[in-house]
Amino acid sequence: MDLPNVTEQSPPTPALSPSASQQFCAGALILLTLLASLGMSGQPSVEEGGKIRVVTSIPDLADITGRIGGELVSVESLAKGREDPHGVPIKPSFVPKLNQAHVLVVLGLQAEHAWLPALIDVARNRAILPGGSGYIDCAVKIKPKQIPRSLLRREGDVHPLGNPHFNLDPVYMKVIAETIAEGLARVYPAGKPVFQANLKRFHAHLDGKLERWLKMAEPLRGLKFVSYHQDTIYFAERFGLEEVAQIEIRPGIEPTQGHLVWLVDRMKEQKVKLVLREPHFGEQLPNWVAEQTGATVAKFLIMVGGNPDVKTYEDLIEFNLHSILQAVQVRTGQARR
Amino acid sequence: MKVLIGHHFFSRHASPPAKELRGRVRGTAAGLALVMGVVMTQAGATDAAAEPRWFDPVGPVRIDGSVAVDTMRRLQDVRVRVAQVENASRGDEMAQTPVAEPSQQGGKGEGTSPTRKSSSVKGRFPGADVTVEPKDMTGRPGGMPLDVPRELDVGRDDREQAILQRQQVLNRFNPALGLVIEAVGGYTQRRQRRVGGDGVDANGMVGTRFPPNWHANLRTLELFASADVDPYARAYVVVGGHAESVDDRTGSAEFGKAVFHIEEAAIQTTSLPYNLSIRGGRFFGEFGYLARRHSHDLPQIDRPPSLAQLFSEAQVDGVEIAWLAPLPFYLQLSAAYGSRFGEVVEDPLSAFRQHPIQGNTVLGKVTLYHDLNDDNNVEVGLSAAYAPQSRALEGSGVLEGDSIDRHILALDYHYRWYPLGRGLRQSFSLHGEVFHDVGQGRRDVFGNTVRQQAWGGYLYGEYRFSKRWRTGFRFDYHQELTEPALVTNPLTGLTGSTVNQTGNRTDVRTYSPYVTFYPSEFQRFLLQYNRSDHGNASDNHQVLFQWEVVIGSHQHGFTERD
Repeated sequence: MDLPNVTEQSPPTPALSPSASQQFCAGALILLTLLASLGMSGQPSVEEGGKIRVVTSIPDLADITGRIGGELVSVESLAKGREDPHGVPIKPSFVPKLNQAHVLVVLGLQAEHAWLPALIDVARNRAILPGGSGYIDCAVKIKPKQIPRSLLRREGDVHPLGNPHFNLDPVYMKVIAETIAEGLARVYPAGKPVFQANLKRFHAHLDGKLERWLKMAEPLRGLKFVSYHQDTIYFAERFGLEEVAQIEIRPGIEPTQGHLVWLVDRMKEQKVKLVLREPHFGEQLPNWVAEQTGATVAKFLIMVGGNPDVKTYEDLIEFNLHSILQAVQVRTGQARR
Repeated sequence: MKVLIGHHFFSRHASPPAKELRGRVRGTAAGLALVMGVVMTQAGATDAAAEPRWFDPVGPVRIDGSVAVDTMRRLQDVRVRVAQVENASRGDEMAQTPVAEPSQQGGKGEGTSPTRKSSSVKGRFPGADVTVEPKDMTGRPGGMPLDVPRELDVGRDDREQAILQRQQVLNRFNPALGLVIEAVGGYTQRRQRRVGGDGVDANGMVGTRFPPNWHANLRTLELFASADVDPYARAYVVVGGHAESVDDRTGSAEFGKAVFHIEEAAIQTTSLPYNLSIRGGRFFGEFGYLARRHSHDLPQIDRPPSLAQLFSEAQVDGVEIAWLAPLPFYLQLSAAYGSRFGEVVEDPLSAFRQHPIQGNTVLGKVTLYHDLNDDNNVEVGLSAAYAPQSRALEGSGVLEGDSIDRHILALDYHYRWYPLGRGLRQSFSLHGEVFHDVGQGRRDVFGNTVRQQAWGGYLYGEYRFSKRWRTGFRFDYHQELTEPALVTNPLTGLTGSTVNQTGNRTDVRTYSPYVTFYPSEFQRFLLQYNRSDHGNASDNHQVLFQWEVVIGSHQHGFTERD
C-alpha cells in the first residue's frame, strides 16, 4: 500500500545543524584546553592551620594514624570493624570523603581490591591515586607471608602479593606506624618532628604491651586451630599458634560438603581442638565443625571495632588473646570434669 | 651473600609439580628468558667473588618450551645448592627477629642432604621451617594446595624485590583484559499474534522476536580491555558478540552466525580540576539505572521490558561531562551530547523491538545518595534525554525518514539494606525506575502529527540469604510505544493510525520471580520465570536459565555496584 510522502509536507528542520554541532565540538575543545591550562591538579592541599584530612581503609589504620598525627590530622575509616575487609560495599558516600582527602592510608597487598579501586576511580583526587603523594600503602615494608605459588582463580580469591592480614601482628603494626609517619611527613613536612615523636612514643608503648601479650600467650604455644578465612597467619606465628586449615575451601569460596568432611577428618587426625570464628562469618559452620570434632569456638576479631568494646589496637590483640585463652580454659575445665 | 638474586624468584615459580609446570612453562618461556636477561644483567653487577654463581650450571638458555623445562629442572638443582649456602648464612638473620619464633627451632642442623623428590621440606630446604608439614602434601579432595608451604614464605631481599618489581613493570603497560561468556537457554511459549495490531508489521510476526519454544544461545561473549593512557586519561574498550538465534528478525539465514559489535570504546579523563571528568567516544552514558549495565551484568537475565522497548542500553556516541559536587554528601551532575542514543544491535533474547533515538541527543542526570545509617541507604537519580529530531519509530505509523522529537524522562530510586557485619550473607535491596516517553510521532487519518506519550517502569527487590544464593522478584509495567493500528481514511485515501480500537493504549505487565546462585564471584547461574500479560492478547510464559562466567581481569566498577 502506498503511503503519502510526509517528508515533503514537513521538511526536517534540524535543531542541531552540522554547523551547530561543529560549534559544540569547538566549544568542548576550548573548554578542555582551558581546563588543561589551569593545571591538571585535581587534588586538595593542606591549608595553613587546617588539619590533614586522612581517610583509611580499615579502622586499625585510623587508630594508628590518629596517634601518629595527633592534633594535626582528622581521621576517618571507610570500613567499619565488624565488616569483611574484602567485601565492603561500594557506597557513593565514600566518594566525597575520598575526593576531599589529603591522605589515603590502605593496608595494601590487595586487601581492599574488591572495593577501593572502584571508588578511587571516581573520586577525582590525584593525590590519593596509587603512587600519588597522599597514598600510603602500609605493606611496603612488610615481608608478606603465604604468597601464592600460582595465580590461578581455581585457588579462589587469591591475594597475589601475599596474605594481607598483617595488621594482626603487633610487630608489623610498629612497621605500619613507621610507614604512616613517613607518609604524613611527605604530605606535610612541617609536621615531621611531631610525627616522629609520636611514632617513638607509640613504638615504646607497643613494645611494653607486646612483652605482656607474649607472656599471656605462653600457654598457647603450639596450639593448633582452624579458622574460617585465611587471615590468622601473622597473629598465629607471632604468638606461637599453629594454623591447620580453614573452613573456607579457598579464600573467599564457601566450603562444600566434601571439604567439611575432609576438614573434620583432618582436625580429628591432628587433634585440633580450637575453631576461630571471625565475626563477619556465620556461626553455623564453625559451630557445626566444633561439634563434630569436640573443639571449642572462639571469637577472633580481625579489625579494631569488630566488637563494640574493642576501640583501640591494643584492645583488639587483647580481645583475641583473651578469647582464645578462655576457650582453652573452658575445654580443659571440661576435660577435668 | 646478596648474590643469590634469582633464587627465591625461581624457587617460587619452579615449585609446582612438573606436570603442571610443563604446561605453564611453554607459555612463559619467552617471559622467563626476558626476566633471566634482566636477572643476568643484575648478577653481573653483583659481587663476583661470591660463590656459587647461580647461573653457572645452567648453560645457555634458549627460548624453547622443552629446553625451558629441562632448564627449570637444572635450576632446581641449583636452587638446592644455593639453599645450602644460604643456610649457612642464615643463622644470624633469625637471631634478629625481635620475638623468638618457636616454629623456627626444629629445622636447623638436620637434613642437609638434598634429595629432590623427597617430600620432606627439611631435605629440600635445609634450615626451613619444618615443624609444620606443608599442607598441600596431604590428600585433600580437590587436589590443589590450600596453603603455600612455609618454605616459600622466606622474605625477599632488596634485589629480589627489585627484580619482581621490574617483572611487574613489564606487564603494567599491557591493558587489563577480561572475558565474559554467557549462555542463556530456556523455554518460551509462542506468543499469539494480534490481528490488526502493530502497524507496519501487521502481517508479520507481531513483536515475536522470541526464539522458538526450546532454545539455547550464546548471548554474550564480551572482551574487556582497559589501561591508563597517560597521567591525564584512561581508556577502555568493551567488544561484545553473540550468536544469532533462530527466529531473529534478521531471518533464519543468520542463524548461528556470530555478530560482533563495539559496545563501548571510550577515553576518560582522570585528573581534571574542579571535580570534573570528561568521557568521549562510545560509552554507556549516565542515564537511568539498568540502562547503564551490559546485558550480562543485569540482576535478571533479560532487561526489564519497559526499558527494552525504549532504548535498552544507554549507549551514546559523543562526549559526556560529569561534575562531583564538593559537598559532604554524594551529588553528581552529568551532561552528555551524542549523535544517537540507545542500543543498536538487538539482543537475541529481547522480545521487544527497541526504539533507540536516531539523531542528535542531549542527556543529563542528577544523582543523589544518602546514608540513613550504617546499614541502610537510599539513592535517587533523575535523568532526561532530549532529541529534537529523531528518526520515526518503526511501526509508529509515520514513514521512515520522517523526523519527530523525543523527550524521555527517567527517575530511578534505590533502597539498600546491607548490615555491615553480615552483608555478604544477608542483605536486601529494592530498585525501581519510572520512564516517561513523550513525543512519539503518530499521524492520524487526516495527515496531522499527533503527540503521544507512554509510561513504563519496573520495580524489583532482591534478597540475599546466603553468600551464594539470592532470590528476587521483578514487576514491570509499560505502555507499548508502537501499537497503533493502521487505518485508511475512506474519503481521502490517506493512511493514518488510531491509538487502537478501544482508544486505550495497550499495556503490558510482566511478573518475574528469579533465583541466583553464585558458586564464586566469577560465576553465576540464574533461573527466571516471566509471565507477561499483553493487553488484549493472551498471557505469555517464559522460563530462562543463564550460566555466566568472567575470566581474566575483573574489577567491580562503581556503576556495577549492587
